[in-house]
Amino acid sequence: MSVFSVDLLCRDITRDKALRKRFQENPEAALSQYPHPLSAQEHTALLSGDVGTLYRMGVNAFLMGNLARHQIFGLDASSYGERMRAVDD
Amino acid sequence: MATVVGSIGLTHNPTYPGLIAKNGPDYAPRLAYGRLRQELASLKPDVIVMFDTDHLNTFFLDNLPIFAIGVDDSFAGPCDEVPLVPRYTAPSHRALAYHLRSEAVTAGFDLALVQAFEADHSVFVPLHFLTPEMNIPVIPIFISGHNHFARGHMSPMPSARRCFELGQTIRAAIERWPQPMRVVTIGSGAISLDVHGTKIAPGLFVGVPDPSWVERVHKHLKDDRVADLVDQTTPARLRSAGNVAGEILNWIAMMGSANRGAPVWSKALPDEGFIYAAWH
Repeated sequence: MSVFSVDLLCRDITRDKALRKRFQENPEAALSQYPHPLSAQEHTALLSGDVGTLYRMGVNAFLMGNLARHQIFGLDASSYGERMRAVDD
Repeated sequence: MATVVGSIGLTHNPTYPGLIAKNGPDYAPRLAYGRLRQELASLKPDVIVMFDTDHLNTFFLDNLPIFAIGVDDSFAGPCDEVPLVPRYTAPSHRALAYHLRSEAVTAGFDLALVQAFEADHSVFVPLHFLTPEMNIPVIPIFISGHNHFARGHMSPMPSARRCFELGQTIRAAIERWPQPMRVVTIGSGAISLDVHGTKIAPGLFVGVPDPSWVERVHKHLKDDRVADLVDQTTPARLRSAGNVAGEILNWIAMMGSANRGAPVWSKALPDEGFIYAAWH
C-alpha cells in the first residue's frame, strides 16, 4: 500500500494549504514528518522530483501533477512534462 | 409516467470559466455553453440526471466504485476549488434517485449508494454554465472513467457497451416513475484529453492526444451511429486518447438514455478534445 501513501500525499497538498506550504518551504523536513509510510525508493523519487519513476511504480498521474502545479520537489510544468513524456507508456 | 424529453453532452473543463471570462463574445466554448443553456431551458426539465466521472474528490483510491448514484435532497460543490465558480448547493430528488438505484440494481447494475456527499467540477462546471440558478433538481450518476494507474496497473473501466446499457436501464427506470415528470439526461466529459499524464503538451499540464477521435465521435453522433461508437470505444482507443478520455463513457450512457436520432445541434472542438451536443 506504499504507493497509496504517495497518492494520499498528492491529494493532501491540494487540500491542506498549511501542509502545502511546509512542502514548498522545506520538502525534506515535511516529507520526514508525513504520517503515512513511504518506501525508501518513493522517498528518494519524491525528493528528486522523479515523477517518471513514481508513475511507473503506479502513482496516479492525475494526482501527481498537483506536485508540479504547486511547485513542490523542484517541479514545474516544464520539468514535470519532460519527465512524464519520457515514459514509454 | 416520467419522460426523457432531451439529452445534452458537454465538457466540464474547469479552466473554461476563467477562459470564457477572459475571451471575447465569439469564443467558441462560450457560444457552445450558451447554446446548450438555451436548449436546456427550452426542454423545461423537472429533473436532470447527469452521468459524470469524479476526479478522486467525491471518492478516492481507498474506495472507488465503478458505478454509483447520489441519493440525497441536495449536494454542494464544486469541492475542488474551480476558479470563478462559486460554491453552490444543487437541489436533488431523493425519491427518484432511490427509485433509479432500485431499478438499476434489479436490472443487474450495482450502483453504489452515495449520501451526504459533495461533487466536483465534473458536475458543477456544467451546472454553472447551464443552470446557475440551481433551481432544477440534479441526480448524479458516477461512472469510473479515468485511467487511474500507470502501465501495468491500469484500473479497468466499465465497457462502452455496459455504459450504454446502463443508460438504457436508467431510461426504462425513468419511464416507470409513476408521476409525470420531464427529465433531461446529461453526459459530462472529454473525448480526447490527457491531464498530468504521459501525453501532455510541452509546457502544459494537459494535452489532446487524438483530435481525429473527436472528429470521428462527432460524426457518429451526427449520423446517429451509436452502435459503431460503442464498438469503437475500446480500452486501447481510450488509452491512446488520453488518461481522462474514458469520460466518453458518460456520453455513451447518456446516449443509452436519449431519444434516438441526430442531435438538434452539435459542435466539435477537436483541438481542445471536446464536443457539445443536444438531443430532443
